[in-house]
Amino acid sequence: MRVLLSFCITLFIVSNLSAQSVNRISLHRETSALIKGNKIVEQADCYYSRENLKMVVHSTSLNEYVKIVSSKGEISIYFPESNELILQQNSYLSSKKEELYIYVNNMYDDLGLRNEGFTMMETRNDGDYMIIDWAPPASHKDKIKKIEIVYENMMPIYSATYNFNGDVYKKTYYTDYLVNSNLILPKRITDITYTSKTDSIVRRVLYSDIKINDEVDMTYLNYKVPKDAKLIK
Amino acid sequence: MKKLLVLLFVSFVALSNMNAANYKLDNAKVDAMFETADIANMSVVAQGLMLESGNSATVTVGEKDPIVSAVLAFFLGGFGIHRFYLGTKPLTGIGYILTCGGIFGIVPFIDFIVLLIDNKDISKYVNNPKFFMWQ
Repeated sequence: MRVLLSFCITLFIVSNLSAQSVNRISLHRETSALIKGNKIVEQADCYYSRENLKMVVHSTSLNEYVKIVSSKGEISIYFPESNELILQQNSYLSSKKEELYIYVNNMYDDLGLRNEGFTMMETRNDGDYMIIDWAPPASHKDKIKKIEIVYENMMPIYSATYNFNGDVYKKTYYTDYLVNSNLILPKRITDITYTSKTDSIVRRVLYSDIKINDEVDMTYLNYKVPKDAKLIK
Repeated sequence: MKKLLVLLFVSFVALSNMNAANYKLDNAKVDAMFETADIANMSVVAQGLMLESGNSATVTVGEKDPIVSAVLAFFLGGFGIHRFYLGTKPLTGIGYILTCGGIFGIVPFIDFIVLLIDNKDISKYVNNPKFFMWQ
C-alpha cells in the first residue's frame, strides 16, 4: 500500500512538472514488422494539437495518405495520388485513442489503459521493479485476463498481455525515453506477440525528430483536403 | 539463409521469453534482426489495400488462410489490411488505420485473438461487414 501511495504521489508530482506546456507535437514514426522472416516498414510523420485535439498522420510509404482525426472520431483519409477521400465517424477512432494524445496529456503511467476502461487490479514489487496489473473492461474479459505494466524509476518499461488462460500473449518493451520538462515519451517501442511456443512476431516503432509547440511545422495541422477530392463510398 | 537466421532468432526470442520474467530486451539484437530481414512481398500488401479500385472482391472461405489473416491482423491491423484480406468493405478496413497509433491497438489485437482461437473455421469472419469483428 505504501509503495502504491508513493508511486501515486511521484506520478502526481511528475504530472504537474511535465507535459502541461505541450500544446503541439510532431514526430517521425517508423514502424517495422516482421512477418515470417520478412519485414514491412511504414514511414509516417505525425502531428498532434492539444488545443483542438486534432491528430494528423502523413504516411509516405505503402500508399501515401493524409489522415486527419478529430476528438469526436471524425476521420478523413485523403490519398493525394488518386485524389480520393474516405470519410468515417466512429467514437472508438477518436484522436483521444492515439498514442500522442496519451503522452501529450501525460497519461504514460497507465499507457492509456484507464482510458480504455481497464482498472487497477494489483500492485507489487519485483526487485527494483514495480508491477501493476490491470483488469480489462467487461467487454474484453472473455479474451484478456489482465495486462501487466512494469515500472523502472516510475517509467513503464514493459507490459505483458495475458490471454484468458493466463498465458503471456504479447510483450511490449518501452525504451529510449525522452524525458524533459515538457514531455515524457518512449522513443522506441517493441512488441513481441507469441503465435506459438516456438514462434513469435516482432514489431518495432521508432520515434524521431520530435518537435513541440513553436517548432512544429503547421502545414499538416492546417491541411485542407482538396474540395474536388473524389469521395470513396 | 538470411531468412533462416531471422526465423531462428524469432524462435529464440519466443522460447527464451515465453516463461521468463524478463522486462528488458536486447535492442541491438532486435535491430540486427530487422536489418537482416528481407523486405516483404508487397503484392500481399497491395492485395490487402485494394484502395485504388475502391472496392474489395467477395471471396470464398477456402481462399483465406486463417494464420495469414491473424498475422496481418497483428502486424498490419493499424493499416486495416487484415480486414481487406478477409474481404470486408474498404471503408471498414481503412478505419483500422487509426488504431495504428494506439498503444495496444486494442481492436486488431482482439481480432488477432479471435482468429487464432477460431483458426479452424474463419467462415463467419469472411466478408463480415461489422467494424468490430467479434461483435
